[in-house]
Amino acid sequence: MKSRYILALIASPALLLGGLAGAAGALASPAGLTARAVTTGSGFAAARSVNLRALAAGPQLPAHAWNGGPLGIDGRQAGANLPVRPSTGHKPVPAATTWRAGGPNSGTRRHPPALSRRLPRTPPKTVNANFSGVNQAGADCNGCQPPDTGAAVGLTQIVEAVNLRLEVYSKTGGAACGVALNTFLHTTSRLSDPHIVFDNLNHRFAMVVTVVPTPGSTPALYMLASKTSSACGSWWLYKLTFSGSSFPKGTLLDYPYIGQDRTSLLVSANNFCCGAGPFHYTNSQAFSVAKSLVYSGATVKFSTYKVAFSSAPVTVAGIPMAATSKAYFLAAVPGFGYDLYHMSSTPGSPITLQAKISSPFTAPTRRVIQPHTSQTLDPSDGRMPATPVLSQNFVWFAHGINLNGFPAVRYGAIGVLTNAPFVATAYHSAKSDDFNPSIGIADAGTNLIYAWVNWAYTDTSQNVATTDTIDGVLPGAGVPNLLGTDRALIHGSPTSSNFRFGDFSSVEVDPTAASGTCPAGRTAVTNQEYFTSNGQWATRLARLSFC
Amino acid sequence: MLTVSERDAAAGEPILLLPRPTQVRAIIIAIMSLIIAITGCGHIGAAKSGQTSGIRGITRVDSGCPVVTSTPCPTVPLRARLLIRRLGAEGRTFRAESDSSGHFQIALDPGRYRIWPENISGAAVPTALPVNVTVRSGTWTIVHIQFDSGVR
Repeated sequence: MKSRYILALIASPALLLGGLAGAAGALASPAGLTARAVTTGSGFAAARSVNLRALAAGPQLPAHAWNGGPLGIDGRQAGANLPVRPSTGHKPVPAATTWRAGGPNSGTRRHPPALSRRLPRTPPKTVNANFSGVNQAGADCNGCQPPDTGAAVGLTQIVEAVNLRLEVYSKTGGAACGVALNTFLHTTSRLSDPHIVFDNLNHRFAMVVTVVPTPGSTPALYMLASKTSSACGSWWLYKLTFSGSSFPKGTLLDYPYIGQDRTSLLVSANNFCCGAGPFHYTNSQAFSVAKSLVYSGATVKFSTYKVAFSSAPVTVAGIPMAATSKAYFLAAVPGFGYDLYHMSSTPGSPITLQAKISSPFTAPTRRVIQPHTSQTLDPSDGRMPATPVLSQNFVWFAHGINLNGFPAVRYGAIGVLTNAPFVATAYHSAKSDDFNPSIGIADAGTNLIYAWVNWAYTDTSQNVATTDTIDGVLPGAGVPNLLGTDRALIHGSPTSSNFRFGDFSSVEVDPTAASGTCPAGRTAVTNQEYFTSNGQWATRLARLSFC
Repeated sequence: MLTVSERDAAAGEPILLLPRPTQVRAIIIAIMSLIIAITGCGHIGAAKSGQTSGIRGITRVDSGCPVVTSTPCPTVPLRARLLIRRLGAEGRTFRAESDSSGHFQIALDPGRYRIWPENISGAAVPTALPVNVTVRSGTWTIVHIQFDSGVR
């Protein structure tokens, strides 16, 4: 056998050398990484001005969502092709993590937090608002699923963007304005994956919406920014178009994320080729665009950089968001851990791999089970359903995992100076299915944070259908497991007509005080999907305070 | 239909079935492929002569739907690689590849096996979960392996 190895090695020196080089890169310590940014694509767009209220009052363009078409010849559903078997037994109680000196949310060595071990976890106490958002019938999407849930919170408004509608509310849930995305973007293109954020430094909303391509079409992504703090007024609208070897004609920029630091809007997407489908994965690209250009309606040009699958841009915490020297992108990699990328805070800078961080997890291994129906739901594939958050020297994140056969939630933080991971588990009960999480972080002092962890669960052992829930972490509590301490925001119904879920959820910290006794930084707005009594999807928005 | 016959991998050969860095897997798979090619351990074309049991099936992937309406995303055949290990028999590993129409067939002795599907490209997606199957004497077990394109 030894001689066969030698023969094989001689026969393929190029393969061997290439493979060894790759392996060395994969196993290198962070300090040993010599990552080089490679740009294989570029983007360009000129701005046009649009006004939401005027468009909403004018002629409406027909909704144009992606239509999945007929079943495949084997009649099996796809999109998430996991088995549906129920799990036996129950989830284990993971080892406690909580507080660790020098770890995230641990205060300082000189001033360790008094709170740490007394009250490690608690959901936000005060529910300022808890109301239903857009639903399946009113989404201008021909009944499409899933909603791709997401919301942002500004000075006076909560803005929800789903397939395929933008809806603006007061902070107590009153309707302010709304528009179908096809009309808002003035396009008959097929659209999907809207994502919205609020810039608490410049008081603007910013969002991206992807274009589902036709064969031969130029790859494109819409980017928008409001001209004021009001989402009901005028916006700058860009149709970003992409070229280069990473963007063949007909490429779908799937699952776009938008994040931000003080100077840039940070965007990434997974590229699938080509046209009418079937789509196959080619690469993932990330880029940054200067806020100063987007907010002034100037033409934007940028290079894109290769990143790992579903690398999410990291939004900077703080009110207003803190100044940072680097921006980050983070990917959850099933079987391995995390890939952390960075760029300088100068817009348009190259994006390079900082570290491959070992913290193995398995993506969910079966679909979500509901009571009273054989229909199951997609728990996704372990990617992050929302953008992570950078608070001081830690990137906080949340995503789905497999825990002893059950879909469950992992959240945690990675030190950007040490590349050290700190992770914990969240679930509702030992027999619940927990999925589609997102996390919001507010700075609360030196190495101290408030965290809101938002997810959905079912619990068939208790006949509980999809329920939207919230849990939280107090300053100084470290990264504790959140097991059975969550607070339900809405108990939904089973659905037999929906089989996708998510694919996103959101938590965004409110930039304003909730009351005279509840200062800014203690309140966040969550958005999550659930199902109403007719089995249709709806979204739940809640404004929750640690006060 | 592409048919790959049984191949015995002696105990201790470095076939990795547990998740490892992609590049390391790529090296080992490449080396093992070359060994097969050079030694003729695995031959493509027909099932092992006289074998009347094994696994046959199809590998498919969803065609990629960011959203759907009332019907699930359509699926299409996917050429894929399958690593098969007999449960309870350390080191005994078999390989198969489906063809462009997604079909595969591998002759196996009766027993319980686990199939690890892999995409051909080595990319992060499409992915599929491992599948356990039981092969009974004189029968071919039909297996449908569904890959997730990664489109959401």
